[in-house]
Amino acid sequence: MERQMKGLFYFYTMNIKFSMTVFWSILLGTTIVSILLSMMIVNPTYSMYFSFSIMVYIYSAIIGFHSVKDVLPYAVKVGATRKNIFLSMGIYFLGLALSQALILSVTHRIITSAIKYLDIQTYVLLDLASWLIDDSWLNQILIHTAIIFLLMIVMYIIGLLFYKYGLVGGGIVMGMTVLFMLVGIATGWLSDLFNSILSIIDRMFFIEMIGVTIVIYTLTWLLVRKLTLVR
Amino acid sequence: MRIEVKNLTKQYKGKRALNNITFTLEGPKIYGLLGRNGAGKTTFMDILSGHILATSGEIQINGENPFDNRKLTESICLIQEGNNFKKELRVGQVLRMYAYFYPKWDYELAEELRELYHLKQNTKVKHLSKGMESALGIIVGLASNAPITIFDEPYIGLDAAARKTFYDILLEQYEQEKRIIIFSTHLIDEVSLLFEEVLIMQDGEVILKEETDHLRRHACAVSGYNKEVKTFIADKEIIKTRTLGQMMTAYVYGDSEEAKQQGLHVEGVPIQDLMIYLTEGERGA
Repeated sequence: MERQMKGLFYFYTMNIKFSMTVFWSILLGTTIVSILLSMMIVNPTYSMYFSFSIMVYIYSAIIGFHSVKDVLPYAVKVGATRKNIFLSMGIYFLGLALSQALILSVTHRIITSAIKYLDIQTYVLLDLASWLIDDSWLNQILIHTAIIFLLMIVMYIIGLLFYKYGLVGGGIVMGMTVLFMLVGIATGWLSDLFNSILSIIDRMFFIEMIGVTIVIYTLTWLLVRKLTLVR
Repeated sequence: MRIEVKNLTKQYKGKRALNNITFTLEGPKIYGLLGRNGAGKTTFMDILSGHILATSGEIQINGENPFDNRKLTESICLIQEGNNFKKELRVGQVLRMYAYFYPKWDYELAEELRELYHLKQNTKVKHLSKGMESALGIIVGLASNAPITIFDEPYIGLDAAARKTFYDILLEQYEQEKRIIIFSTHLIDEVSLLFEEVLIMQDGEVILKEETDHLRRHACAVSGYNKEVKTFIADKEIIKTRTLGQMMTAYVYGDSEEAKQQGLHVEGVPIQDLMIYLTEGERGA
């Protein structure tokens, strides 16, 4: 790997380390507290529901958006070329999505096993991946990776639009997107789309989803190739 | 290294930061880039480093555009007065990261300077004092060994002793590894002896570009009676004049020996004063 790319990956890794540690510490802490609280529920008809994956999705989306202001200006300052920034950010997001998915799946398995072992009936750990298709470990990782990667890239693109074109430019694009979604909901084609996706959902769908996200990411080159510091 | 600036203009919303400037810098040499706040110095340095794009005109380094040009970005290290480094990173991480981007990075020097400025490897940038953060910038700038090293007010918060150390090391390093060093500062008196050539900017334009030796020899303050001084400066390039009663002081480009021969009192003009006089108002009396 060329030296500048190594430098960029080193920077990204060191930069995200603290944020990831804090996020996972809070998430695990909250989970343990919620398990302990659920053990106090005396009426077995009541249960406490907790979702790990949704938290990770939200966090990853924030990371995608935040990376624009948090990482890109420093990459430019240190002298990285726009091509290397473009390539390294794409690989970084995919790697981060994969590692988040791995941590998420492993943690989910450990906690689920612990709940089973302790025979806690009042605590349910929800997982989108297990709900969408079968509960195999590989599928879980694939689904989480695909969803996290897509969220990161979409939010990264939104972040780039705000960075390059300011509040007005970013706001216009966001406004148009929201309007488009509202029209989709009102006319019903958005729910039809979701239903048709859910009916065909399988492992291949998520592999394709990663592919489509990569294609979407390539569009960011248009925004990155003349990237400058905002003064 | 040869930096050619051709008709460079940078327009921000409602303000022209650089106004069609043209000049050439050739190295190795230590340049002083001087001027008041808002003169356009930082904008020029940002364009030179490939951080921002010019509105029109161009900068060429050895005939190539520095924007997104890896060969050149590896040859330019810009250290600004603040916000050079990610606050969450540790000192050791910053140094290691920069080492990846500068092929001629001097590990030994970086370590030596880190110890000299008492910076701990594990301290996060956000926990450094203003002066210590400046010291980190200085370490990066010097250890980068970049053929074009630019310091834009690099020592905010550094005490006088630490600044003196910096000047000494800068000169020592310059002797060992000759390069173009562009130094922008408001503490002109402190560093003017380092400068080999001075550029003074005002309102987005370069109003003076001259070898410091030449300036020291030719820029002088001539004092005497009004009439005598006026006679002397009649055919000279005047920087500024001051009159007090019948006495007059003129800051001019001229031969100090000639003035002495005419019985006038002659003094040299420090570069800081020269910058102030030149940027106070319009050039000339």
